[in-house]
Amino acid sequence: MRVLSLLLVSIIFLPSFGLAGQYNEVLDIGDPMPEFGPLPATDGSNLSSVDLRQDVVVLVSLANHCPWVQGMDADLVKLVQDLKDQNVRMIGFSVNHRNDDRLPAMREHAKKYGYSFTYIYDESQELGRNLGATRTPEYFVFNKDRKLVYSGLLYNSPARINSEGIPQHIAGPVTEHYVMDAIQATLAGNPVKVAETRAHGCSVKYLQ
Amino acid sequence: MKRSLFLIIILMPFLHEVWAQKQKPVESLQEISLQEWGQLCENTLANITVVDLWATWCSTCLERFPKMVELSEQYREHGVQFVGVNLDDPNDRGSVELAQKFLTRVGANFPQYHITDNLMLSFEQLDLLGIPAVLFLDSSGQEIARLTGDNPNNQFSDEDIEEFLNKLLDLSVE
Repeated sequence: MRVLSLLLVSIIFLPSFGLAGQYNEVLDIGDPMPEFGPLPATDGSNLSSVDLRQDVVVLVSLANHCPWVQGMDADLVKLVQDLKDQNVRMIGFSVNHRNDDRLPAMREHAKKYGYSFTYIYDESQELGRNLGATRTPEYFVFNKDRKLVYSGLLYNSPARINSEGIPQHIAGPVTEHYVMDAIQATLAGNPVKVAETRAHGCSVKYLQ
Repeated sequence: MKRSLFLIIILMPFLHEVWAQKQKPVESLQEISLQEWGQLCENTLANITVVDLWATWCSTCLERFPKMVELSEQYREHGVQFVGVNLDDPNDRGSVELAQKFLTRVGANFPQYHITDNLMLSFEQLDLLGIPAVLFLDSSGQEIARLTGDNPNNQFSDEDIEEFLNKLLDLSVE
């Protein structure tokens, strides 16, 4: 009887509603991109999902304070640079309410790290909630039909700013570039080989 | 002289508290592999074990930690054992040292383990998307529930930990 009761209590207190994707409780591969906006960006503009015209759209959840975001910032900037001649739009977004993750701090962070992509802030946190984004950084790649084709890590060895203040990869040298591979496959009209990975980083701070 | 005596009398309760805090033993991080962690869970002696998964790079974990110290004290007499599992990068020794300093600073009063396996493997083996996360184990070391931030629309609070423990303890009394 006690075992049964324990089981019942456990079920009641299980926080998850079950996974939609392999590592995402809200969004699955093939699901449509959530509509958003207009949301303020660090460059003073406002961005809405209806403004996006590119063949591929990448949304990445970021948080200035997060050592994983800082550890991979240079690689994110390089990725955007490598994609400059392709019909791809990278959009960073932050939803945290900590002062160091809000718009004024985002402007400083974008300048410091040389962000050359749109970086938006969503005070309502709706964009993050609708994407099921729970970590920073976490990537979401959408095709021309705005269906999710990839979610998860930038590459297979995440990096964070270590105790000496320098980026340190936690699984050796990077050998697989998941986001770049997903973008190239999608632009070429091919299926994405690795569509879901376990994003690794800081937790997004959602209001309850 | 009178003024000094007055100050001592005023500060006495505070000094006593500081001294008492200093006397409390602080837990040291014990380094173990994932395999050893599994064995440790199987051999738990507590009716209920609460596992707090944390790291120094996780600001929410650090903010929650003092509450876990408080809860550990509060539920000890009910046979609830709190255990901390630190998930700092084992290849960054500076981080592990920082973790130990943090434990000392906050007066950690329950056993603390640092997993020495690769961090990505640890998240995979423990089936974690992110931390903080709190696992509840029964007396045979089996996980009966977990509280995580895996769903943006269903985050957990300190109160949820207490509420769940109270439910479990009510059942134990029955």
